[in-house]
Amino acid sequence: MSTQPFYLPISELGATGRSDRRRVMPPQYLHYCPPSAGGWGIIRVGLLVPESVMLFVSPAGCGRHGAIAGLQLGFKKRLFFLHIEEIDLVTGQHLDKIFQAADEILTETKPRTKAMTICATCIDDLLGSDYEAIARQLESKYDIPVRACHMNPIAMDGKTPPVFTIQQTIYDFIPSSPEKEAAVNIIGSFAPFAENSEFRAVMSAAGFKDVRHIAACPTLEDLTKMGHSSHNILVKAGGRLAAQAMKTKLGIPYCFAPVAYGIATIRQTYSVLEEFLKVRLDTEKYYEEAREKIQDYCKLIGPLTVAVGETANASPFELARALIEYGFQVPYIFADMTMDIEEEHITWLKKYAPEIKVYTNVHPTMVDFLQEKVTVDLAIGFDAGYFCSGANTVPLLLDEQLYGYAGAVALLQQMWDALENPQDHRTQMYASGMVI
Amino acid sequence: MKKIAIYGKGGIGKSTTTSALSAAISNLGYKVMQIGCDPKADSTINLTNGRRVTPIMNYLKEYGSCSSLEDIAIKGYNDIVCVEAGGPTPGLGCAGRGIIAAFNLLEELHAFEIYKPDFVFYDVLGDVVCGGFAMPIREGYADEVIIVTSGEKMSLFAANNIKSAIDNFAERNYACLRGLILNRRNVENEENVVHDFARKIGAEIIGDVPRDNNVQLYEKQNKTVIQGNPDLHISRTIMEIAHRIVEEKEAS
Amino acid sequence: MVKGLYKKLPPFAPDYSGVCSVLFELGGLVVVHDAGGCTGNITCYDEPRWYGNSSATLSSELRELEVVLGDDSKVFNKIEKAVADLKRRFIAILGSPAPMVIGTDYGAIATSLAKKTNLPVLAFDTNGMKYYDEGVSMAFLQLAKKFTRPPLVTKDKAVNIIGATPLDLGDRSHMEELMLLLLNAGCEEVCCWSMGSTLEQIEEGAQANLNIVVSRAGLEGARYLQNHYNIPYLVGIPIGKEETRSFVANVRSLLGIAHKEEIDKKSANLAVDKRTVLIIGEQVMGNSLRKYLRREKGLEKVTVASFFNMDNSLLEAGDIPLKHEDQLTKLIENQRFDVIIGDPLYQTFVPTKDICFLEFPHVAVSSRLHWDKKLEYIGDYGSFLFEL
Repeated sequence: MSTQPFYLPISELGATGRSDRRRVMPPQYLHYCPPSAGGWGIIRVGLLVPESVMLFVSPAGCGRHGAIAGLQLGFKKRLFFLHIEEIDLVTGQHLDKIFQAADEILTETKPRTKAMTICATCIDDLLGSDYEAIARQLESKYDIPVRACHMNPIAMDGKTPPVFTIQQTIYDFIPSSPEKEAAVNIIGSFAPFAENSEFRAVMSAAGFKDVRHIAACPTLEDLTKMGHSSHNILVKAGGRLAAQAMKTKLGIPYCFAPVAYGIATIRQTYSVLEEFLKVRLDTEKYYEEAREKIQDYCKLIGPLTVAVGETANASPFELARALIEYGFQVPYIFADMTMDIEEEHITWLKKYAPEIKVYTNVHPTMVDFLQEKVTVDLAIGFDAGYFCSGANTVPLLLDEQLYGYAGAVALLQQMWDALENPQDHRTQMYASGMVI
Repeated sequence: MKKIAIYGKGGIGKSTTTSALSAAISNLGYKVMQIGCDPKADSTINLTNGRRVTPIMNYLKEYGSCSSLEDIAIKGYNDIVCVEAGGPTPGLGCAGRGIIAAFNLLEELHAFEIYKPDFVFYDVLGDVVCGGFAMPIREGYADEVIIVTSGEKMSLFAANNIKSAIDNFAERNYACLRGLILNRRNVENEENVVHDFARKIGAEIIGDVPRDNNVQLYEKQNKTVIQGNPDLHISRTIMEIAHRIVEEKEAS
Repeated sequence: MVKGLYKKLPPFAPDYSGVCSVLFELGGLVVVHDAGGCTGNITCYDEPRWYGNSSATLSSELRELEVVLGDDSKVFNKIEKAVADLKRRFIAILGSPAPMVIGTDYGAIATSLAKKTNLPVLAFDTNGMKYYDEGVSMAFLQLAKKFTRPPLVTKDKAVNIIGATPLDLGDRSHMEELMLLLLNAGCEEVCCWSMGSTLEQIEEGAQANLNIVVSRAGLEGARYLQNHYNIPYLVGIPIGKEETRSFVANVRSLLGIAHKEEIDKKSANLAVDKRTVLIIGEQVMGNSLRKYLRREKGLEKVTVASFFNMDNSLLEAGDIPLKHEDQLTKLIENQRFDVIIGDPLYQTFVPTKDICFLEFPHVAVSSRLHWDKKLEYIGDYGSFLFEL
């Protein structure tokens, strides 16, 4: 039954689609969902709003993965489900039930809830139910901020796919503030920068007293402080709509300075930031330090083969380039999306590593991929680890945000750890609570 | 910008009335846009001299996405911007949802910012009031609703449904009911029946349009009566409604 | 309390997961007509066998415009391409919430697909609002209807096990244990549909002499085979020594295998335990546990409650079909059971430490949270199941 899995040699990568997001998979194919697929999911991202609860309104099935992940990872206590039944679709009565359910949740939850998100799904999108109006009504009734969000994969190909709009929703809880202070917000990532990153020290030396991130705000009040920041730094593309909305609503300008692992790319990113922030950033010593450490790790690890996947917290193309620059071999990339900002790295790879095969996780022929018995020494991302079974896997999860020169060093350290202490891929992956 | 949704039972003369109003207001020197929200997609036919505007849903069906307003809008009589939402293949899909998709596209393409109309008319089929057909009365779309009705039972029934929908959404800052336009079909005791109905639902009758064969005469030439002959009694009646709408806008 | 509001429990496995679970091992091209998220539920949360497998359960990647326009051409096109690439034996197409909104007719899609591809096509009108057991039931019935062939020859002492999915029975070792037990009892051939069998074996299903139904959702399929091919069925899972002995005796007598009547002395002497027990779970499993508790533990007062469909013929007076979460809260508050058995997630409803809670994981409830837990219960092992 086995069929040759679909791939593109990197030299032929130039897939079709919208200008800002292109797919590797040709159009009109069924979609495979490997066990390694997924990320944080809409619910977990939505619950980044501190002291908030979410009411998820949907047919029973839609919320299952989010709820199980919530039980696994501990956020289920703030998550409630209102199940839609068939009759509700015709009568629309589930929309009335939202008010009763919200009342029950808001009066019973201890400690008292300070904010609420109501999440709608594909079905209400199609019915044209107005969750935004419901949120406004609840907000005025209970005097707490209430927002609507949408877990609607049916809108995935449009201009406002759920992975983008959910980020817009969480930052929409920040009220506008006319007073600004020299501080930066990090937008787009789900975790604040790892402790070891030089970023805070660099910013502090440049006069920015705070580096703020939603996941580092223990209270809703802390979150409102993000509205006082003078600049937004967008580090992952998924936050773009949010950053644009914050610019309009809160008057905070933003700059895209994506997470990168190549030392030269990181240096370039810092210079983009200098221009945006209109300050000089003193990063040279961190650059030198990182360069040495990276060299040490590379010697330690040796010129191994590494497969790169798209579930990793990275641009797979930038990451592949960085690894090749550090002396590794990258025979395979598993990725289905390419973005404009990756163009430069793809061009580089076409020139310097034309033998790379780019597989998409989602092509139907990938169901038989394991029969190919593809092997590498190391895999970065659960998807690469799954498809290259037996490889020592560095998950590089979204739960920890590596950034800057220290981020590149941390990556190599994690690669070394994966070689020294190999983990069971299945156990490690299922424990991470990833959802589609 | 003032946005008005005109609802009414299918076949009651909504499109005729809406197009005539659009033409009348444009004659008063205002920029007007008319958006047909009926799967039949023939709301604006009398404003375009018979030129067919490509309905948004047809366009999306063929090309998947749309990046230019010119593909889905044309300028007709007095530069009135004409758009048709269109609908799915009959018997399939969801027409109400089609209206939502059409509105989302107009928003994405910044239609109002680009055309800067003073008045926008949504011409909406009012037999069905599901989520999609209620879209034009949502916050951010129409400010006011005008219902076109005759004295016929089914027409009043539809009008009542529309009124109920508006009332249901009263708390949501949706559009409010501006009033009724009586479009006469010359059924027995029509004036009294409609006046009674208006009183019962607490609505004002803002126009009483007589039945007039000239409507059909000019429709054959793909024109409104306003374009055809502004001096006719019916044209003057419509101009009066137009004046009222314009004056209110100016006053506010 | 608002009906349909779930504050503690996760949503249970939905109907489409049930269908996919039944079809998982049978070598078909299973297409979920959804935007991708529903398929993700199945593959990552409701199918413990997904990891490392090459079963083709794929999403149609449905998009808004297709729904609004009622445009089925894309899904046809995608399926035809996949059929060419993957060479599977049959196609199944099943629904999700979004296409339900416009009343998608899966039967009609199946008819056209069968013409275009020359493959058997199964259609399932699932919508994600019902629970897995309805999907499982639909799928077993469809397998019986669509694939079993009228028998030209009858086998001797051949048995089908119907109703087994990991959603109810977890790890496949349980059904392997049951198969072994049946073979040791004198059965010549045992085929456990959907867990350890091929489609070819199911095609021969009508040649069997007996069906063992191990979940409520297996009943419809077994009833179909009884009505069409006169195959009797036996409902239940043998748990514990005593129950296993009766079960084996039953199977032997239905298959005409000679056996000695053993007199059950032990149960006659068993002291009555007056404690009350509530079992929350799948009905057949619940009933089988109840029999075991009565037989081996002397517990007489045992109530079975289930959030999933319960068959009238298997109900005992006092059994409780649960519709909403608050019903379970009230049941536990008001009735003061001494012992509660069920998925670990039900423990949050148990207010005091005075109530003895015994874990019996149910994948359709707690998904991957407990699916790797080993709990032996089939046959003699069952005797050591609970410390009571």
